[in-house]
Amino acid sequence: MAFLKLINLTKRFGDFVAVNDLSLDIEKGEFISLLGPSGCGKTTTLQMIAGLHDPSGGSIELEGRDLTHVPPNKRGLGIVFQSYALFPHLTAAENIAFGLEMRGVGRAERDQRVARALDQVHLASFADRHPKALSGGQRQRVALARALVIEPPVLLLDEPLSNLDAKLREEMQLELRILQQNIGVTTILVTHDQSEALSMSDRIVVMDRGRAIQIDTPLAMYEAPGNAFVSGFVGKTNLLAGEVTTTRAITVNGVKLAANASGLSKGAAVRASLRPEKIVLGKPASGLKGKVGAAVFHGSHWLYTLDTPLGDLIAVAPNTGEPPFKSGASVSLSWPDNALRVLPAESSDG
Amino acid sequence: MRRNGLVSLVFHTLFIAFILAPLLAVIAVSFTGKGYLSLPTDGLSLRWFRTILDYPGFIDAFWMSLYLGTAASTIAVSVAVPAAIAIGRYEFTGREAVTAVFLSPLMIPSVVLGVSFLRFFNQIGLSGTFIGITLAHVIMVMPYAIRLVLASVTGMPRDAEQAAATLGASNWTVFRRITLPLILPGIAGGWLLAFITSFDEVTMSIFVASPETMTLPVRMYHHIAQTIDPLIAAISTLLMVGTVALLVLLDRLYGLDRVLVGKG
Repeated sequence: MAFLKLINLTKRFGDFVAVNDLSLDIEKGEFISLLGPSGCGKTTTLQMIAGLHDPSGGSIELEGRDLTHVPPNKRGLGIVFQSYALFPHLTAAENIAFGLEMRGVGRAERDQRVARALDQVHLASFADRHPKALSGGQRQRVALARALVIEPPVLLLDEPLSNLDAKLREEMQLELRILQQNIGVTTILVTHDQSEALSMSDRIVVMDRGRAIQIDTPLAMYEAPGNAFVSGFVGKTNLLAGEVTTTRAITVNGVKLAANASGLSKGAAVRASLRPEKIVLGKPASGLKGKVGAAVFHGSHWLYTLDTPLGDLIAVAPNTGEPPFKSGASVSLSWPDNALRVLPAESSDG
Repeated sequence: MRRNGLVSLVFHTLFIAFILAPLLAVIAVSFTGKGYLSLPTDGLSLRWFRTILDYPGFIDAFWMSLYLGTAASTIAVSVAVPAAIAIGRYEFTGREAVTAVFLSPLMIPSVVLGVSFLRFFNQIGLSGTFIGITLAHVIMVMPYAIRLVLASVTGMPRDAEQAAATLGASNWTVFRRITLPLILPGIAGGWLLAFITSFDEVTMSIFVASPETMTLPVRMYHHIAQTIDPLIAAISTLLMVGTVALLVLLDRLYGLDRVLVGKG
């Protein structure tokens, strides 16, 4: 029996269907990311779980208890808003204490738990500051501590890191994940940042136009995207349009490539995904050749744009300390046979 | 900081002088020792300030205005807060109409309001009562209360309230602990503007005030209608001093821009 169940959850605003028949079983202690472009219904889904929107259909169950029409103040869930939604007239400590106060926790225990929560997010010395006197990252931690201090069964995070700069965001991703695992709180994260979803989650739900497109672990999502939308959204990829030649090969721009096309009829139009880091570049030899367009240095790796018979491709190669291929250089391209993923044709509209 | 050019400097000086000159003239006149309106060219005197004490009617009228202003603006703000939340937060049928009704006293000439209230209060037996004049003032100052409270309600972030609700606060607790403190500057500003408006009001009050409910401005008006002496200047000077003291206090406590302009 799943800990938190979303059953055929639907939300309509007038004619617009924001969330369409979403079902999801979440285990206790799991970290789930709802990932998708803006307007895909991920935030609406989170707000329905929080009780801030009434579902138009379907239901929400927590440990077998029906939550669907329970008001937000009776759900007891912890929520971190994208804007943090701190109470500007209260200090950090008072912000964190608010939920405990509402639960009638006595002053002595309250102070103790607030102090522990502040400690947990490394803000012990900022207890008496008002939100205005805190940096973005510190506010984010106060919001997190405020949500966690009530020991909620489920923690809901609405793009909690999107307002932080890149370096801080990476630090917080790691910190948040460690904190979540230590506490063991079931967590649902809404994000449009695929790297955030990949790095933090146990499972990812990719959403598009109100629907869950694919629900999988980060590795499975990355390695075996269910369709073109997922492969384009989760990580970088080269999408190749071609047609099925045999069950073992497809043809792209007249070039025959080995790929698993079993179950597809000969001549069917398909798209295939090829991850940039799977492409191995070498000195010109037999096989597929290409010309280097640009080489962009990223420290740990090089990003190449390539002009090939298949079309323009991008490739990523680890930085070995050697000078890279120059712009205009001829190179050979190769990749493991299973790196080229043929995507089901019917969902190529993403 | 950018410096003002000569032309703009002259303009601003003239402009400020234009606004302040009448007030300064009144203050100067109040220190005269003569029995008629004149500038105190031959020495200052507190004669007219002492004279105020011989007119208990003015003292009574001052207290009346104070009670009336306090009562009217407090009632107006108490109505304005829920009204502003409804208007600022929700879409409902007749929303525009309700807003227009609340703001309409601004558009109706005070004389018309005064005559109407006089007629109406006679009809329902409230004429000449404190309740009557208070109700009239509540309506008179309502637009100011509504405007300022509404501005703070619409400028207030909703997510803090949502966060409070998810932390277990009931609707009433959310209002008391989160909403009310956050719109307090608007409420204070609305109350202050309402109070000042009520305290200053003459035109309408002349119709509704009875000898028992005579406000200070009405009393002063009646006094001027009969005689012209520097007594009114002395009273005006005291009022100005009181007002400035009040504003300075408010500025120290809350910051005037926050209260009146609604800056964070």
